[in-house]
Amino acid sequence: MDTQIRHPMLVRGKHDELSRQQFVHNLRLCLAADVMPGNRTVYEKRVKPAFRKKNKRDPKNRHEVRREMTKDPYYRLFSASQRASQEMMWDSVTDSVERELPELKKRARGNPHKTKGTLRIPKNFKVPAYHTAADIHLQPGGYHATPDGKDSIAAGALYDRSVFLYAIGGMGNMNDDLGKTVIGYYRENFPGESPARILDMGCSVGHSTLAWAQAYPDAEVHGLDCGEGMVRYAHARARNLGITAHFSQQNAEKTDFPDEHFDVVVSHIMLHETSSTAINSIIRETHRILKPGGVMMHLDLMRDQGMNPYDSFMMDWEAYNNNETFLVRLRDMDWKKIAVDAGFKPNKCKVDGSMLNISKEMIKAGQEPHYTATFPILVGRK
Amino acid sequence: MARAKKAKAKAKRKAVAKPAKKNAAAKKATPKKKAGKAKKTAAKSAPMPRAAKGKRPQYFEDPAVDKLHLMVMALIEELSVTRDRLDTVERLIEKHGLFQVQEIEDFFPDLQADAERTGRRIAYIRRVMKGITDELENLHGEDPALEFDEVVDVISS
Repeated sequence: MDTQIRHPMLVRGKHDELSRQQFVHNLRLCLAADVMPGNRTVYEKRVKPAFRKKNKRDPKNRHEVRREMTKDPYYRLFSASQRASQEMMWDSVTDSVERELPELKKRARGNPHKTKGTLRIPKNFKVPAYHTAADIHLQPGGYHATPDGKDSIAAGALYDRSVFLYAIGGMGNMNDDLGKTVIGYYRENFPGESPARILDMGCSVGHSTLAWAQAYPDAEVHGLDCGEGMVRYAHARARNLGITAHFSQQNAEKTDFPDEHFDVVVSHIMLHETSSTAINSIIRETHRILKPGGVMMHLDLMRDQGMNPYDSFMMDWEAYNNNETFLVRLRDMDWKKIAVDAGFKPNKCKVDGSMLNISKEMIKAGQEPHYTATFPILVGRK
Repeated sequence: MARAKKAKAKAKRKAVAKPAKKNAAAKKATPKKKAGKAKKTAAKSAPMPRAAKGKRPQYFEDPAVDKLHLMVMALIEELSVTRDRLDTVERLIEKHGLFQVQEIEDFFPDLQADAERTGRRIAYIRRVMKGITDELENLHGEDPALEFDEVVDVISS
């Protein structure tokens, strides 16, 4: 069985459902370890030479690589299988969530550890169009499925288990490694700070939010997300884990927090699920709610700049095949300019980066990490 | 078959979940009164969405291949699930002392059992390979196979 922590809010699943989930988990592992690397071989040995022969030069950018690779039978079969694994993943967990939802909802109402965590759901929340145009990463119903009524936690319950399978456990047994990665970055680069108030934007079910709450137990830690079912579940999950955090359904573009309210505002792979307009509003909002001297850290996926065309093309896979569409645009944007336009002083903001915490830990322990890529972080100090 | 069963169950569930009841349940839960003993709400689960919104990319020239690929993936998955289930059965058998699973490894069919197995296995393989070999039957036949329109002509006369 996989190593995800079986906390009280996590969907349990019956024998065959768990078996399907394990299958998807292992299938994704095989696709990542055995099949995906073959794309590079196919590119180097077959696709690039053919392109060179025809054009007397190498492909210039990821889009040219894409045009050629999507015609290649190996890449096609890889992509079709990878896509299928994603669809099968949601389906395998949906079976369990669908059946257990009434029980999970009952558990969600309890507060066994008597934490002081709060939940705020506004009356007339408008879900932004970039969340409804397509279901992001193919989660049926997106972050907004409410099959069982208005107080549904279905989307969160589905997400919590599925995201673990998605990452093949690479985000740790609490799915919180991105949170830990940004915390590590913060401690390294802003040593000695003790933030009193922290906000995690696009917190989903609070995976990273709780990492912050655990790292700074004296701080007031908030998480916001557009998905009602996500924050309802996040609240229930935190309470059942005995960790205090405050969740609210809000759009990061325009929150209800007062000016200069937070010492730290972060997000963990949220930006690529927004839009060209929204990202500017989000960074402006970050600036508004940060205290003077407060720190912004938005971690996302690798930009095109500085990558070779093939690697950059592969980085786009989720955009074209997994409904993470804005990633294509975000990867070309000048993040620092966005921060400067939002009010951060040019000498007080930059695009920095960090290796995943889990990889760093492995290196420290003398092991070879599975993944050594550096994730970019848009950092700014107000 | 499992899928058909599931679809049936889903349809049943759909029929059971009356909208009026659902609203009442939602209303009951919204005001955050003391959670303590939540009144027994209708413990019927609602059907969740199964398809993600957004156009699905077409990976192969023929869209039928995309479908076929999905079917193969689902079959691979279900075979894996069945093997897991068999593994569970074996482990429970051993746990309850019915027999040692090693007996399965050491099992050697007698002539009768072997013949029955072989027969079943060959029939199974033929069933799977039928799609490939079907057209040969027409080629070998005394009369060449008629095209659809030709058959229409025959039956129309």
